[in-house]
Amino acid sequence: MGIKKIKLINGKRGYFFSLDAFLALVIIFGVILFIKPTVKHVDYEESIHEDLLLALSSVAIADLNNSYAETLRSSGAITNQNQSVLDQIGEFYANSDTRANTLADSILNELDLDKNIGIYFGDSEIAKIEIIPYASAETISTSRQIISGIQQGNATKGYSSRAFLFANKRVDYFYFGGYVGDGNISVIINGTVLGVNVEGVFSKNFDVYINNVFAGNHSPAANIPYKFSLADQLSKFVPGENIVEFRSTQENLYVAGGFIKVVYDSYDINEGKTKFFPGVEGLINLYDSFYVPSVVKKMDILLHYNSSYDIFMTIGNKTVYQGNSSGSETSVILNDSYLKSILDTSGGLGVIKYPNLHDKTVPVRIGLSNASYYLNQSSYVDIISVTDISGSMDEDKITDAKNANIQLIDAILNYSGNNVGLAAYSTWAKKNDFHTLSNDSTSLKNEVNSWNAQDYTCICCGILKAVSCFDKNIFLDNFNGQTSGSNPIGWTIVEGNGVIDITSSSLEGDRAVNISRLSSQNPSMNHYFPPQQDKITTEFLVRHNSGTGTIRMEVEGANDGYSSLQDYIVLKMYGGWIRNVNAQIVSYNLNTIYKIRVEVVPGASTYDLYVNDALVGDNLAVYATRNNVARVFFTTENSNINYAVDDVKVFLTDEICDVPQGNRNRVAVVMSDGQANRDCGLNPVPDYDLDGDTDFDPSDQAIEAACIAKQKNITVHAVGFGNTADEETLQNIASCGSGSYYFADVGGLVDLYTQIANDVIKASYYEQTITGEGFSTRLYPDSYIKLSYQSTLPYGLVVFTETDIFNNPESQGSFYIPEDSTPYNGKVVSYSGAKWTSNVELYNQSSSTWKSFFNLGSYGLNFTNLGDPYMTEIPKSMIKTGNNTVRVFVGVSSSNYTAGSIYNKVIYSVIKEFSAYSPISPSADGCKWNIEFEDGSTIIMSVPSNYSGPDQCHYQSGNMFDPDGSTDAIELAIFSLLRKLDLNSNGKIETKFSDNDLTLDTSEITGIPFSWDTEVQIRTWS
Amino acid sequence: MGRFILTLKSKKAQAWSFDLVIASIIFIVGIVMLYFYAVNYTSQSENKLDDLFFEGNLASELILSEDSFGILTGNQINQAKLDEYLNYQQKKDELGLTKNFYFNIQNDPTNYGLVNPPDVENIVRVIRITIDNNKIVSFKLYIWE
Repeated sequence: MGIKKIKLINGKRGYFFSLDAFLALVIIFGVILFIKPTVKHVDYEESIHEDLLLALSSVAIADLNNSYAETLRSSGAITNQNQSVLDQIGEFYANSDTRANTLADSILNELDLDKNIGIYFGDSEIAKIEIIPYASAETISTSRQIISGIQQGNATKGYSSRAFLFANKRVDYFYFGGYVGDGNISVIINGTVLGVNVEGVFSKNFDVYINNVFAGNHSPAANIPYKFSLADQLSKFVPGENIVEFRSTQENLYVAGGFIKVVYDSYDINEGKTKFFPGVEGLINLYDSFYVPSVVKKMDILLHYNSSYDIFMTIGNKTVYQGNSSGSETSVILNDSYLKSILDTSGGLGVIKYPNLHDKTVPVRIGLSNASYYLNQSSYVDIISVTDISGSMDEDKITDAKNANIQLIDAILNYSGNNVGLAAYSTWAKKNDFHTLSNDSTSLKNEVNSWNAQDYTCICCGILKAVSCFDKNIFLDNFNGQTSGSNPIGWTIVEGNGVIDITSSSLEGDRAVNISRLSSQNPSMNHYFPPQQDKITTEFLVRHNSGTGTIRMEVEGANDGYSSLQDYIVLKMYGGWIRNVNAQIVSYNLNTIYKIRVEVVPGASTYDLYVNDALVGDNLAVYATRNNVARVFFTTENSNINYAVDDVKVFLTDEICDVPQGNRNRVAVVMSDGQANRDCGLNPVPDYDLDGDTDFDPSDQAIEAACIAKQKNITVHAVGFGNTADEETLQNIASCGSGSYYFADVGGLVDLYTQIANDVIKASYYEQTITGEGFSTRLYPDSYIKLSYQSTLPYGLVVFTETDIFNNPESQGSFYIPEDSTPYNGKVVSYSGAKWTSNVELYNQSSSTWKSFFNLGSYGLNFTNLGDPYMTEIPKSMIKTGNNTVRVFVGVSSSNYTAGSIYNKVIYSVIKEFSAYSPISPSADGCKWNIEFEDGSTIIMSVPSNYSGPDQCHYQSGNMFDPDGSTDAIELAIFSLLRKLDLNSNGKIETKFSDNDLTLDTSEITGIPFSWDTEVQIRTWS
Repeated sequence: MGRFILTLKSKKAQAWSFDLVIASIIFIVGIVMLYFYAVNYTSQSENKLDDLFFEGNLASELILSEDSFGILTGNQINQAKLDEYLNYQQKKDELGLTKNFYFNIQNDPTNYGLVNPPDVENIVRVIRITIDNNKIVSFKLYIWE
């Protein structure tokens, strides 16, 4: 037993540790198995910040199912129901409104989300749920979104304004041709007319009739574009067809280029596929053109006329019609197939063919063919050479001038029937430097050889001397039409203690001058003129109204230097007697009109006095002998007196030239080597040379003298001689005298005068004006060329613009197409007078060459058979954005041309989307705008038109709107638009609104988010 | 008898030593086994969780989409599309998921999917936010092996 126990005990002990270890492992495994979880939950929440951002952006605040949002809605706190919850929170935030926090809190708290999450705008916490503090977060996840229009402390929504130009009226032009005559001229205007402006060179005074109702008379200056408006005659227009007529009581009115600008009552681009010809009643003599912008599909012509004589019509150099109506009214239709057959025929140089009519200005001529002898007859030349013999012409120059004049005499007198006169001038044009019109070359040359260079330069004296060869009148003033109560125009007035005023108590016509001496100082008025040395008559009406003083009337002469004037003849009226100085001649009565005439031969010591055409004083003694008459002078003496003077005339008593009658070509050739530095009393005259001097400016007076010459049908050519010549003045003289300007250096004058003589002789054959008696023909204004071609109406606003006149002797000018505009068309206006526009060119900047787009010489015919465009169209393909420069030449043949008129210009149009936008701005009220245009005019307009607030805005040079100081969307949009219209950024707008009947307007959009922004963040953290 | 006593006396220490050696071996082997078990178990669990994270994320993206298998229309829960998840197996097949899942939406007592999940070792909960009937609500998806 004992042993068994021992074994048993020994055996247990041997397994004890093993068993113990085993049990320990079992326990450990048991514990591990016990504590091991059967289900393990792991949260995954990577996207909830993105989800919340998306949700807040997706739900409109109006729809949000949230208790606080409902409260906001019901309280009216939501101004924009359509914006998202995020925007609404942002709006509250921008306005520092705590409802941003409340709303965000409410949304987060209603979320069953036991997570850390927060909403932040920029760095500002809006709302959050935090299980653990954000500050102790170990990881942070963020979703971001930029929302525009939100910035704390600033408005969230604003205004944007669009400013634009618009036209609800149509502007259209009727262009006269280069020459429309000769007779009464009429034009058809179709539509409801809102405005009519006319510009043209009219040859004579004329009356305007609208629908056969008198609508005013006009007295245009010769050869200068004359402008007038029919704004005050609109009541005479009717809807539909209207006829505007230009009638002259004198014969043979013509228009040498011009246009009628008509404003109609609707905006519509009317390309004007039918070109109506102006009507002519008299001698049908039409020089015109047309332009087709694309290939002609069909062309028809209607000639509605009445003529016993054959009329012809040419297109290019092709005669498409010749016939007459035997003295009855007829309409001739030249249809498309006929015109094709005529224009498709082959021919020589420059033949116009039907398929090639497009993209070129095509001359058109309608005239009287059996009156051709008027065109081709040699109209004899009466030419006066007006030569500068002032001191600067000494030595070689005077020799050149003499030789040139001798050459001119020979060249002109080489043709029988021609005459030459000479009028040399220095300080004034003296009689012994003058030679009447003559064909006696020896006498003329002797006169030339007697000239000596001395003294000053009075160009106008020389021109007026030439004029006096054809017209005896030296100075006339009837005061009619002047303003009552003002000083008479053109007189030198010294009122002293008296008054000299225009009065309606006239002695003839409707005005006179009243001269009143009121105290000790005598009032006086005088007018001087170039000294006259031929027998001269001074005549005037006078009436002694009241007072016991003396009426003193003087005829005065100039000293040799034309620097002072002295009494020659003195007449007085007082005590009931008309007196030679104080000697009683004939009695007179108070308040009675007397016509007083004085005739004197300068240099004589006696004169003749006529009262009411009766000789009352024969060989009366002059006050003091003078060798010329140069001034009339009216004043008073002794006591107070009141008298009236009217109808003052100074004229040559006898003709100084024996001017042949008939169809003759009057020409003056004016040569000078320097500046005009002596005036001739012409006053007032325009500031032709634009130097700002209008006070007896010798240059302006020289140009005015040329204009006066042209009014007397004298064509004035000008010659600059040597490098000191005042070319600008001479060019203006040629322009106003409708002549050509030439230049010669010393040594070249002889050749030049030879050329001038040849030109004058040619011109006497070929200029456009025709004359004739007994002709009665009529072209009716419904005559037309109807052209069918492909045309596309442009998108955008077509704005017509005119450049200023070229105003330079080269007849060269530029127009500018802005980068953001599309050129629509460009028409070069040429006032060619009685000549033809022969060549028009555009400067090609890339090749630095001039490229012709109209060349009349290319038609290879005598110009008299060709049309003459007033308006030459530049092919659209040649017009570039930026500066475009053109120049114009005129002539009488392809080999005889000079620069065109200084009055030429370009009428062009661009297509442009004239609109501009403002930035988003807090307000949109408007402003009263003061806008300055390029021509210096200003306009004040409220934008919008109903704006009545106090704001004044300026777009003017020197007073410019400051956009940084404005928060008004309309102001900013208008300013932006005006800047676009200010093409050269000089503070002046190029597009004059009134010219295009444009106005400014705006439209606004409200509730636009501002462009500033804030980053919204949704953050989660753990 | 004497022999028996002598025999016992001569082997007593050896028995204890041997026992201790055996016990130590057993214990060390056990510890080593436990170590390897623990290491392998943790790695395996992590892999399984990663799978669940991935598939849970995928499932939530698919379910919260406007595709044919999604439950959204116009960023909002479409009840009709949601009800289709009452047919769990079909939707699971459409989604191409290998794991089981169910989800619920805040304020909606219904659990969509395998509505009675068994006791499993790992369940991943994917939390999202969506819009239900213009209310911003939580979306919770549970997914397991």
